[in-house]
Amino acid sequence: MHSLLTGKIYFYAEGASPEKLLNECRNQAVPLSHIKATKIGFEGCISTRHYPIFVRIAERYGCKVEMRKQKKPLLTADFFIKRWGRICGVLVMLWVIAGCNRLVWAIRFDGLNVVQQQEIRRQLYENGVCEGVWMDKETLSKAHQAIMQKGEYGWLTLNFYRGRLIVEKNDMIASPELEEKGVSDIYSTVDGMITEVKVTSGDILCFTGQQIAKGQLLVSGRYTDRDGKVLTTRSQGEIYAQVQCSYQATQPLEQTVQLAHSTEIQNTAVIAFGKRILLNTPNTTATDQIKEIQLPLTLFGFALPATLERQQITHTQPQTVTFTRQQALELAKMSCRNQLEREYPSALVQTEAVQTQVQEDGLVVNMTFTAIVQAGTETTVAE
Amino acid sequence: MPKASFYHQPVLHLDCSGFAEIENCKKVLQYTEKEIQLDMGKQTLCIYGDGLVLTELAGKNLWLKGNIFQIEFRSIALQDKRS
Repeated sequence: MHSLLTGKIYFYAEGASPEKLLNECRNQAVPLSHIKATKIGFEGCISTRHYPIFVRIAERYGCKVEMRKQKKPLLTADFFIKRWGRICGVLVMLWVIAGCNRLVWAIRFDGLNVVQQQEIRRQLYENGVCEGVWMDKETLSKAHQAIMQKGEYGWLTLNFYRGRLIVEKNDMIASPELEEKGVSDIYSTVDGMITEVKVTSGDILCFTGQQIAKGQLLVSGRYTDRDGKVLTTRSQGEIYAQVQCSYQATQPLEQTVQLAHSTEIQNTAVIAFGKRILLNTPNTTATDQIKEIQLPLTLFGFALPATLERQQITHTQPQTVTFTRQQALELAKMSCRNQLEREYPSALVQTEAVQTQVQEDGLVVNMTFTAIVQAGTETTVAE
Repeated sequence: MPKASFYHQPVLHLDCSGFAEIENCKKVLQYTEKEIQLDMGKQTLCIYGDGLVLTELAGKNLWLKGNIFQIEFRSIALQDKRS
């Protein structure tokens, strides 16, 4: 490495007393290397800087020195003369490293998994923080507040120092809700037969196997004790009932849907040194699905102060899909099941009956479900 | 703590792959491809071998490489008597 900077000369020395020459070089701190004895002298290697001194010493001791090969230093004036780009490049690099402390070079995460990193990176980008922007306290503070307002994190820090933004967080731990005081009753929301009663407080007015109607009082928050005193409480618990519900769905045999036929990725812009440089404006239509991605730019693993904006465009086109009778039937049945799930999210289906009506261009399916659903809802009453 | 003169003693480091390091050598008395004689103060160090190359020569230290066959330590007092 040292020889790359100073250069070296391979020489050949011959004369009457090569040993004296070696000793004098040692005395005068002239470093020699790769010295190999020859018949009448020796050959070796010396740095370019010490060669003139070595030649003078050799002349004093009657030795003749001959230069065999010279390796010039890597960095000489010739390296820069007529190549101003090299000097400019070095100066620009020094300016960027020393003068761009407020530029975001890299965003690093501590204690976050990949999904959380992507989410926070997206939230930072929405608030104007990404690689390649000039950072100030106000921008950082606004971004911090905007992310904290979403309520996902109990604690979040954005530490920015000399180009590096470190993100640390702690997830929000939900505090337990205080139980509300007051009086409430449980009323039925369905017509059916009670299958299970799990009530923890209140006066139970129903029993397993009882037929109930919608709006019927099942659990009361007021009751009298053995002394005839009226007591009030919140009615709490779960009551399950078996219900029958019917849904209808129509499924045509031919349907026009938007199907994806190709995907392309286009780099749209680069954010660097606080500027957004447009690269490409992709042609999109109203039916295209566009996903925007922001990627930090790196060079051989080293972070660059720049962010690449990219769009993933999925092109769709209307396409007519023809279903067989069986496919149409399954689609209609799935639609009916979805309707049941929307109305009763926790329903446990026991049986289902299907009636199909074939029409010219499709099917009409009627499904009747027998299911166990949650039948009661708590309603607050005045005390 | 050792004496200050401890670090100025002539020292020979030798490994079995033909590499030798000589510290605090006073001067080179003779150097050929097959023999090198060094003045170490109280003794003369003679190294015999084949293809002896001084890989580095800086100050009072030498680094030698080659096929070393024999190393002799000659007392200067004895040499004077014999001569």
